[in-house]
Amino acid sequence: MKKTFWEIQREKKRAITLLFLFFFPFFTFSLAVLFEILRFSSVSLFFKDAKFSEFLIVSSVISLIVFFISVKGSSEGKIYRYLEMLNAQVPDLKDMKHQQVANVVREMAIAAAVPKPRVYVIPVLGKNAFSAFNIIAITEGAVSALDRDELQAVVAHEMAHYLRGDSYYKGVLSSFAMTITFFLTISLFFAGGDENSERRGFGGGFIGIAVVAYIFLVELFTKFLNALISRRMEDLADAMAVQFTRNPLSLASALFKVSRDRVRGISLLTNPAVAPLFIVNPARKQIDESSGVFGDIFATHPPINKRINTLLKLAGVSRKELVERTSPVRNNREWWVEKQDENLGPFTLEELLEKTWIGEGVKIRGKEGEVKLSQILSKFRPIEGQCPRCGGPLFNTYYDFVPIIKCGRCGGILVREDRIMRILARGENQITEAEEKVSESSLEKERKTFYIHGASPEAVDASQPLKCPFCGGEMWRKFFNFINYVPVDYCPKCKYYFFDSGEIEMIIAGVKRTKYLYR
Amino acid sequence: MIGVLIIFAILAIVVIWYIATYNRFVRLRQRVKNAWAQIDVQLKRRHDLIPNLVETVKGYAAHERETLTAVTEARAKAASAPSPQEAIKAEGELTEALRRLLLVVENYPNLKADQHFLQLMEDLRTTENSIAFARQAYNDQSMVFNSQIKKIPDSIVASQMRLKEYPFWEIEEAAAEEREAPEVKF
Ligand SMILES: [Zn+2]
Ligand SMILES: [Zn+2]
Ligand SMILES: [Zn+2]
Repeated sequence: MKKTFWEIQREKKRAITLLFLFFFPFFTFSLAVLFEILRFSSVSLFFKDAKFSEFLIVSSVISLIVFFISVKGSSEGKIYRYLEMLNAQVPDLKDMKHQQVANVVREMAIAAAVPKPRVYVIPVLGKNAFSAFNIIAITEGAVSALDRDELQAVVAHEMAHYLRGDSYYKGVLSSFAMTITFFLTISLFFAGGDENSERRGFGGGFIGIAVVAYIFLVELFTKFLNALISRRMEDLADAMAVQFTRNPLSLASALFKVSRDRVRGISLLTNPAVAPLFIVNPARKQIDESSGVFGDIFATHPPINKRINTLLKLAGVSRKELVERTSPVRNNREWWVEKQDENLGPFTLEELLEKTWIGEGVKIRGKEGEVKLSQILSKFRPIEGQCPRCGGPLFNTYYDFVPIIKCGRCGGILVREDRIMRILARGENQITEAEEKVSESSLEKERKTFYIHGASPEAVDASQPLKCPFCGGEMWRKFFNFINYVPVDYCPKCKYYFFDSGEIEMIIAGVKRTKYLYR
Repeated sequence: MIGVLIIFAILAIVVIWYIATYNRFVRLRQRVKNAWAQIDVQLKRRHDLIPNLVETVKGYAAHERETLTAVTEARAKAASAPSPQEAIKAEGELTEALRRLLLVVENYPNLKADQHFLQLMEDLRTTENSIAFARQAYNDQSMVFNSQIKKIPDSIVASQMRLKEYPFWEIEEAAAEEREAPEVKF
């Protein structure tokens, strides 16, 4: 029997409600038992004569207090600080990909009949997304790798969390877990007993072992319950996302792409306080990937393959078709480039403009015969100022939708500082294998220069600084970063980088290589 | 004494249930109304977008005059429809005309390399999506509402509040093919 997403939703909602109903008495009861234990131990001089029922009342009052404090106090400030730390930005509307993000968020808010949440893009290469309170954040890596429908599906999943207020519930759960740990730690401390007191506590005897076992079990069970609720929330969010988009396949292919992300584990997103909020667990543990027994018990996210299979069943599509669908195809490849007697291509027009190694010295052939780079560029808007390297004309163009400024003569590009991460993220899909090889070898040369000269002015050749085309000031010559040692020019006043012909490809190849190291 | 307490407790539970259910219905009804209001907002947005779109496409594909005039005319008709029924019909025609325009544009690969044009396409796409999603949301919300007010014992509160079922918005043929209609049993 094929289930509809409505049926899945009802099932999961019921499971979550039942689990929450169970969590409260479980917490209260475990706490009361703990007090009872404390009564036997040396600290209990205060409530020696208390009854178990009184403990129950006390612990239910405590759980109510914890509940209200965590609902009221789950501050959005913490999330904003986290976003600030990650340097998250509102979408850059001049960048079409970012505009799509803003648009799909608006569309999904309409589909879910909720007010539009705030959107942020995190300039991180890992592919992920999260929602907390009224915020939906998505990483640059995900924005670059996913197509419009897939972005929509990911946003729909986050919109479901936002609509249900899952981040509040997750906050409540974690503060319950924290309170239990707090009391458990205290009791563990006191259960050892006091040598000088007339009551010796449990010491190391049989009861002592039993107490430690009890404490261990309660902690374990709390974690288990927490993870169980969190996973049902993820399943529910998936089913609701399908309700909003009516397109289970796009969520399946988004999860498929995200799950094969090589940099998931090394990004800044693994902070355990926020990890459960993401669409796939950023702290890539074996546990989330396998569907074995342990995977099912303690993971905050359901096994991603199980999620994909559920969605594929809803879509009526086989896994094989999904894999075929997600492999990239490009149309309109009609441009060839001749460089050093080698015929390279075919490229699309957009790809052609992205390659910084294409300058005056290379021959470009299109359908209408040979053309010059400046001729192609002339249909873009020219800007005032001249190329800092060769004095050629500058044009406003795009690197996979990221606005850049390109020289019509030498092929060098100027990029605003805050957009560089986006180019690196999108470069992974744009750069060809041959380019990667060439760039790798030039990268190796730069590394050697660095090893000979060290981080001295000779290594970056700062003797003749370039003139910034916008403010006329002198540009700094520095290493782009200290992993790849590519020397680049930077205007600190205008916050623009200038990359010479071929340099951006070198940096992208370097980023790709470092990512492979972490595979 | 205990008997009185029990009766009192039961009464309290009933009152709390009544208030909670009442509030839930108010909330659900508000969501249906919001979803309905969004349809209008998004249709208006589309009307505002069309002149700009037509101008741009004219610049690149002037000989597609027929398709372009169809769009302009459908918009004018929808904007000046005398009755809601006719407005719905005219909006459907406009959707059709725009869909044809999108198909025509596919034949102009040069257009697709143009950022300004891509920008307009994205605007159009998000507007078309928004309209479809607004209708879908209205149907989803009213379906949830309709089934909730029939549930026993909540239906008692619903009849007290004189709540009525909301009618569904018929989704046009072409759109229905793309989006699987929700099959629900409550
Ligand atoms: Zn999620
Ligand atoms: Zn130049
Ligand atoms: Zn400057």
